[in-house]
Amino acid sequence: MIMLNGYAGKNLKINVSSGECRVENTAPELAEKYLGGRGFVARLLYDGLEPGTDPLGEKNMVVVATGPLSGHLLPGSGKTHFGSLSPATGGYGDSNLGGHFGPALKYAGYDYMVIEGAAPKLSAIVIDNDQIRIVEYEELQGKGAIEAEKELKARLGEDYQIITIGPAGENKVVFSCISHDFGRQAGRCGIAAVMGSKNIKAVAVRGTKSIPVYNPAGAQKKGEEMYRVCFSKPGFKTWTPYGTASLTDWANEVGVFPTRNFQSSYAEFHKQINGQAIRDRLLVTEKGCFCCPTPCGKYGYAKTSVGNAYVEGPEYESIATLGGSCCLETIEEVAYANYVCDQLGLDTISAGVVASFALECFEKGVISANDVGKGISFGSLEDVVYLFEKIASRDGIGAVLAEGVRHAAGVFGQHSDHYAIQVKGLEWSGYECRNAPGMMLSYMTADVGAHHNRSWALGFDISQSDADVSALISAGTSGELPLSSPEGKVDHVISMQHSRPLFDALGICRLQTMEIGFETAHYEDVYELITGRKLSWPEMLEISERIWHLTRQFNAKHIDGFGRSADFPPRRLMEDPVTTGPNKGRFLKREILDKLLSEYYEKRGWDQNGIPTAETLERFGLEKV
Amino acid sequence: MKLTVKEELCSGCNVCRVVCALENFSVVRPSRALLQIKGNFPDPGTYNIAYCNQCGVCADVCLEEAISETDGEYNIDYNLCTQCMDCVDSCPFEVIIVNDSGYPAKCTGCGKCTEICPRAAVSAR
Amino acid sequence: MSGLKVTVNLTGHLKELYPHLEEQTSIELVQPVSVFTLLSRLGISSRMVLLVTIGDTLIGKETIIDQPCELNLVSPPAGG
Repeated sequence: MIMLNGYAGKNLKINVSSGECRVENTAPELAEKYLGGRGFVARLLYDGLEPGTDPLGEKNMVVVATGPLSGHLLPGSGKTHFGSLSPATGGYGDSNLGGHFGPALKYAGYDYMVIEGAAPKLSAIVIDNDQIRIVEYEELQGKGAIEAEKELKARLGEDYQIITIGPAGENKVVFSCISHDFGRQAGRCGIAAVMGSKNIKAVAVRGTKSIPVYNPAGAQKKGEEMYRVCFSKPGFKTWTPYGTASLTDWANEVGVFPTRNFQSSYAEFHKQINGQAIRDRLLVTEKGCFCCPTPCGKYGYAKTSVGNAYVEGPEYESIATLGGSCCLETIEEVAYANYVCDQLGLDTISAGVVASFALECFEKGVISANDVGKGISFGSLEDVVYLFEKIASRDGIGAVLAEGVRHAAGVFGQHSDHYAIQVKGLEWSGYECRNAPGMMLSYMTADVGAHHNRSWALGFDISQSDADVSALISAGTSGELPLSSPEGKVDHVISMQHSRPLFDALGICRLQTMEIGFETAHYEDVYELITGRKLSWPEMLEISERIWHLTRQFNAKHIDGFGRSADFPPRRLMEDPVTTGPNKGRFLKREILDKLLSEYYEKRGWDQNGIPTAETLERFGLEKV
Repeated sequence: MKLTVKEELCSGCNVCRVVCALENFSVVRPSRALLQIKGNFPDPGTYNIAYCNQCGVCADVCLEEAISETDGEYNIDYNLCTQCMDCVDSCPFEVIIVNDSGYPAKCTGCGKCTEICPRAAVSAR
Repeated sequence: MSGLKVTVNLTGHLKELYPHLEEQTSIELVQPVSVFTLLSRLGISSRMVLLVTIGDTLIGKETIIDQPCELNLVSPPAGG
């Protein structure tokens, strides 16, 4: 076996129908061309799935992958990447979570695992280093994701790292999420539904081995230096206490905070649901992922009229979709709604957008109290919780909503697709973009559907709109935001679509770089010390670009008729003016987005239907579909 | 170096355990660390740090007198150790481990955990 | 009459967006002004400032600066 320094060196394939477990060597060429994490996920799914595969059938795969830097002594080395054919979109689905699971998998000896088949009864995969078991756990049926993790830790041992699904995943809700460490989730794309279709409630890993390192002393010294550098950054002290929730006030000031099912982009009550509100009214513990110097997780306790709960969060995205889009006006209510999602195992982003879609449909008379089971309105925690419970159990209208807003709009009709806020079947995350053309393009072209984490072009959009400082001064903090031009945005979006997902391939967190300016040169150095391979950041970005073309190919392979038409946002964002706030009146016409898309495809080396050309594929060593 | 902890500052990141295993055993293998972090979740949502506070119980139980104290710190003399493992069993904090050579290993007071902890949850006493 | 000296630290993406400013910049104020006004005098869009702190204390952009101090400006993250 060729020693793959930095990697565990082996991987695990489990067929939960037959119980067969295969342990194989991790292929060096796979590591060389795809790094790991998201790279492994993309390549394994592409090679392993045929067109026409049912996302909720036995032949779909769940890939769980770490990266070469996962588990090592360096900031944020705890990330784990998950992927499958998504039941939400019918295309490429992946999601990432922090916590401690990935390192445990590597310490057990596995760079990645692939789950295939379907277990006859509800089960958990239990991995204790070389010992792998599929254990029936029918008594966990219906248990909340958090509850199930607590139960399994008590039974197996506190030194196990565990991922679970909630009842939503068991019931194959297409936006159900994978949970871990009592508050971390791999939320997007419904991968938990795929686990549910395989009757896998949990995967528990105990790993006590070591990971080989090319230069252990050098890697240790470099890793220690990386922490000292993080400690010296001003953002270390300013960003960490508030985490992602620090975005809330800013998002409202610049009018990108989705409110009332994206009717508006400004919430008057935003100071009641911001990062300071979390610290003042909820906070119990600063909770960090594996080896993280900037623990952004805020674990707290929320008391509401509907219930009380411990919950990690809410993160900005949950504040945006539950607080903004559903109009829950206090941090306690947002946190409690977040908790309900966490226990049921629902992605807070999609759940918030699905709920706000239902609330608007009710308001407009598209659905009735008879359809829903009761009257529902924006701003009601009780109604949001009611909808989540219906969805998780696929009860009544919940069965329709459980399929996502695109499907629900098709069932409800009455032009409700106009305000079903999604792309490719994945609900839009927490940034309203009718005056942010770069960010709009980011959402349109993200491989998994409407997700922000591939390319966060908002800062560029907002800064580009402030060409005239004197106009800004006269506008004040609450004046109208100048128009953001679509010019010059495409290159920036493409660049971010390579740089941000690169962290997912390396198996590390991007927030130290993105939030506190930690220099990427450090990762080049530590990568070489750990793996023995010299790879510059630009060379790593090329690998990330390869992965980007591959996931586009995957969608072309699996989604019938896939092409340009899949890259457009809902009509609300192209036709309806924002109703309030600094971007009041703005919307982005289809013609502008059409032009942006054409420029994007050209620069990407894709044809005008958005499919990679033969030359582009050849350049990156990828075969034609 | 003698350690002290402020558990309320711990974020559960475990970097102290990763650097401990690297420094003391040259391995990326936190299961070999000489301190432990335990999360209490979902309720009350806190962390506990089990570490060597130089209580000396290990020295008291060692019949070979292989564990001795200098300046308030206890260390194992491997020339005298007979691998009886009484120290491992007796440690009130369960932070004496068995290393790959089959000998007990305890906190050496290297202080790497205190240098790297981003929260100042583990520091020098 | 000596001015009111304020030191301003730029973090994150602010350095890229405002290359004419040093990572640590000083400004002398003749009279107290709000953080918002101070930013505009430096040519920094308040919209590109996510948080403002003095030490570990968060302050709002309407806060009046009436003593010598060191402000930390945090840009919006590149990630949500």
